[in-house]
Amino acid sequence: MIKITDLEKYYATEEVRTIALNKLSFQVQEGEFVAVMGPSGCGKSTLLNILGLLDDPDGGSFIFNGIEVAGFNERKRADLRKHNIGFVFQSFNLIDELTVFENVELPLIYTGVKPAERKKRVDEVLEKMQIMHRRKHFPQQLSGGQQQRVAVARAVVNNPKLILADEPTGNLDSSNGNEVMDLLTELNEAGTTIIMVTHSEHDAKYSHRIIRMLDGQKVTENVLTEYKSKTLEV
Amino acid sequence: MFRNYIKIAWRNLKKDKFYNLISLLGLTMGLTIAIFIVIWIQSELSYNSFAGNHNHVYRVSSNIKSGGTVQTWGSSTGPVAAYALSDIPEVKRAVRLRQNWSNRLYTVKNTDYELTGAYVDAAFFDLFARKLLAGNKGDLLNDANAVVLTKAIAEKLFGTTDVVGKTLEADHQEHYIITGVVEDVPENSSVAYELFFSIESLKAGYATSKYWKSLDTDWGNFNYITYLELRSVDDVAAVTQKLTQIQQQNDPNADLFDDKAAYYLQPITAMNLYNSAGEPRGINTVKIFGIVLLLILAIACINYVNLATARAFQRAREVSIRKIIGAGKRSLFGQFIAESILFFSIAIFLAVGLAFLLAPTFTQLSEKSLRLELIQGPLPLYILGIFIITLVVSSIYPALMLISFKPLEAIKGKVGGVSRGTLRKVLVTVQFVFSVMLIIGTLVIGRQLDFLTEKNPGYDRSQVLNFWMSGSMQEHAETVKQRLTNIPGVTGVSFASNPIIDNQNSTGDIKWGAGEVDHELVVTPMAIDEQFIPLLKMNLIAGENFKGISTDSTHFIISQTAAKAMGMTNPVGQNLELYETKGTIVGVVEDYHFRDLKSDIGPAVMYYAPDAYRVYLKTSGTNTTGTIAAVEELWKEYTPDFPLDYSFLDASYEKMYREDQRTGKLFNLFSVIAILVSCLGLFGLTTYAAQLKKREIGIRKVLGASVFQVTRLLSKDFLILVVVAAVVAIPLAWYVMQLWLQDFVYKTAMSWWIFALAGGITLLIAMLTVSFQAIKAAIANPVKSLRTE
Repeated sequence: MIKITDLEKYYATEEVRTIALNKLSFQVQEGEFVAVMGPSGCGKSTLLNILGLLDDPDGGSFIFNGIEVAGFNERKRADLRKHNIGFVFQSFNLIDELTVFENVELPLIYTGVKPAERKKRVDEVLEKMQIMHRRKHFPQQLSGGQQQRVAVARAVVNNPKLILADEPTGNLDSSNGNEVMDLLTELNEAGTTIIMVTHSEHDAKYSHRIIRMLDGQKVTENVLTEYKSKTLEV
Repeated sequence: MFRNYIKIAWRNLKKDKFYNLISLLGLTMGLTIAIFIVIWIQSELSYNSFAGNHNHVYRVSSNIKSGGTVQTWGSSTGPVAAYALSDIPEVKRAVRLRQNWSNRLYTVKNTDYELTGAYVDAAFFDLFARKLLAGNKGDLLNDANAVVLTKAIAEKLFGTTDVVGKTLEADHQEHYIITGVVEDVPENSSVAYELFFSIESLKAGYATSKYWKSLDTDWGNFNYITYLELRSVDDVAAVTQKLTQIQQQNDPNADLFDDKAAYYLQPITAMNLYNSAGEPRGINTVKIFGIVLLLILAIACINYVNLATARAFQRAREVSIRKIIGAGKRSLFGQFIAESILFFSIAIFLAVGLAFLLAPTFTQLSEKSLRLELIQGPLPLYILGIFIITLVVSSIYPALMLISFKPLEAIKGKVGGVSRGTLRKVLVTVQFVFSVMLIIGTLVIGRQLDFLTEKNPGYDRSQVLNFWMSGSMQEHAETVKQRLTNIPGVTGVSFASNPIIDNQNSTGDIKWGAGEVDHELVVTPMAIDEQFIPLLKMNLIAGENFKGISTDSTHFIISQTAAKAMGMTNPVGQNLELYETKGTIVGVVEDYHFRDLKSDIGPAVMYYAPDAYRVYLKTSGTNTTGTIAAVEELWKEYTPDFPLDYSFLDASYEKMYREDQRTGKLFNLFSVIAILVSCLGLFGLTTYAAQLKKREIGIRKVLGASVFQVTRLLSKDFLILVVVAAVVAIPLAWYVMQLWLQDFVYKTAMSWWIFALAGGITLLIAMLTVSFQAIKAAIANPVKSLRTE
């Protein structure tokens, strides 16, 4: 599903040029759950941004679903993103001015789903995440765990092929964190590909494979569970 | 999608009450004032525009040669209209109008009314498109004693418009038959009279005249305002040329007029903003108010933009999330535009409401019956225009700025707030440039008005009561003078032929030097008695005053300018002939202003008449009420039917500048609002800056910074901008005010201190605004701000 080859990304200020990604290559198959780990500043977030089509690489190739997307313009990236990728963040990133229902509904609005269909799908996913009773509340009225469940609901409401999670349990206590990890696992088992950046060895164990990074490069790769791809290589 | 936009916009509004209130308040105030200025300008520009075919109607001004230059009079002679109609095919209608000065009081059922009337040709009602509400169109003003009433007056006098055939008594002696009722003439017009008399009644006077045989051949009396309706606006030059030709062929005094063009055709819609020669008068004020309108709108828009962009970073997170979830730039742009639309809609709604609420106050201030017509007329369109323009100008930049955030940086709070606001600094500067300009404008206008009222006009106008004698009084002029002198509190009595403040009299019937050479000089004559010059403390610079003896009837006193115009270095003793009276010049008086200070001082000639109609009483000022009561008593003895209509010279003098005083007052109001709006914006920005720097301030205070140091930290940047603004504003304001002062022949100097003061005032206001928040931030407990971080 994802194949990156010799991916490069630099950040330049007037005096210093920092290499964030240094000829990084790896693949992720459809339905796989991959954890990316490494110390702060190793390039994990940069990688996630590029995988999430939020940023453009400076070099190398990025094939998503068989299409070369490195070099796509903003509009094309946005289009591909909204139909295929869901995001879960450490700080939830819900919009404070919108209710739970409206937050989850937002991706459907942007993909042009009709109101009746939107309501049905949002209700379904809220039911599944067990926060239906909170649908009219605003984010600040919820606990951290509940907010992250809303965020996950929002990430999956469009049935994305890929979920990118950036430290999804970073702001949660362990019981809420486990709950979220269970949710992600469930989604993965239902067929969604997940790439998760994390500092937590505990969370990483939920994945099939751990990619460890340092200074913009992959240093090791541990396969925890052999994942049998339903499709062949990209 | 749109509903979603509005929903979030509304929630945002509610959430950020402080900034939104400031923004909304500024915008609403700006828009309200803008609505008023638009109404005011529209009223100024729509003068006489009620007349059906107003774009084709012109007033005929006469170009009269005078001492090597040409004077243009707004009046013309009787034959102009007659010839124009018969000999010039391009002229569709021609109407003469002469105000009825002879009648004042009109009586219906024993009640007296003071009304204004004019003699007009019957075509008047067609030319000015007055609908006939009662009467027969064919015989409105055929008879000499016919009168047509406006609807309002018919209803006021009779309670109905069904008045045709009824009698109107004038001055308790004449009787007019009402032949029709027409719709009212709007106030905003040169023909806003209440009664219309037949010009036929003036024609009757020629039956006994020796010199001029009829009104249509009387080339000598410039008593009429002539209105011509042309078939096409392209015919102005042709008609002017033909009128000149006609004048040259028929007028016995043909060479009195300018040879190139005897007349000037002025569009009637321009009569209020240009003088009779077409030179700018009020138009510069209209232009300046137009500029003020733009400045105020700009200030209000800048406020909105500044506060919106300053707070943009708070929205950056929301924008980023939306982007990540899949919002395209277009939909985000739409969202922020929708928010602005909501915001501006609320503001314009409030502004219109406020305008309605304040309309009576504004009407009072502007002394104009300005109407807020929201159903008909162009006002709704103008308001819509203002709405759209301000909306577009104010919303695009913040929206573009918001959608340009890089989502991942924004989400992590890496977007700068105030620190990144170069444009915002520019905008604050621009805003204060405008404020400084308005303050300078206010100061210059105020100074000029003081200058006008304080300038010595060449005579002493304090405590001088004056009024027109009635006919019966004038018959006993000598006794009246004696009795007036005896009234306690009266220190001097004088009779003259004209009001000295505004003497519109003029004549070219003057000769001097050897032979009967026609010198083509137009002078302002005035008959006075021997008390006039001392009573008004006028300054005789050569020769002597009239002595009050019979030889005075062949003596003249001329003004300095008259002496110069006649080329006399030693005028006293020289010959002069005025109105065919030959005599000698006995004195020269220092120039005095007998018209407003917008006109140059012209040549004046005074001749002797001990029984002229205008009475001047110098009072001691101790018991004015008692003095007036005594004068009224005397008046009643001679003129029991009429009330005494008196005025004081200084009051009349001030009245002459009422229009300018009004402009000054309006300008003050607009400036204050503009500065207030600017300060609101500045207040918002400082509050915001203080909030952003809360942590920095906390750390600095923990490290030992004083309240003063922290205040300086927050104020410095803004105050530098104000200084820059003052530097930019000064030349701009100088230029604009120069334009306004052009209307005056006599004007105040724009001294450097005005500019310095304006800069100082602005700086002070800005400093107060900024330091309020800065000090508040500086004295806050640092532990609190650091804890919340």
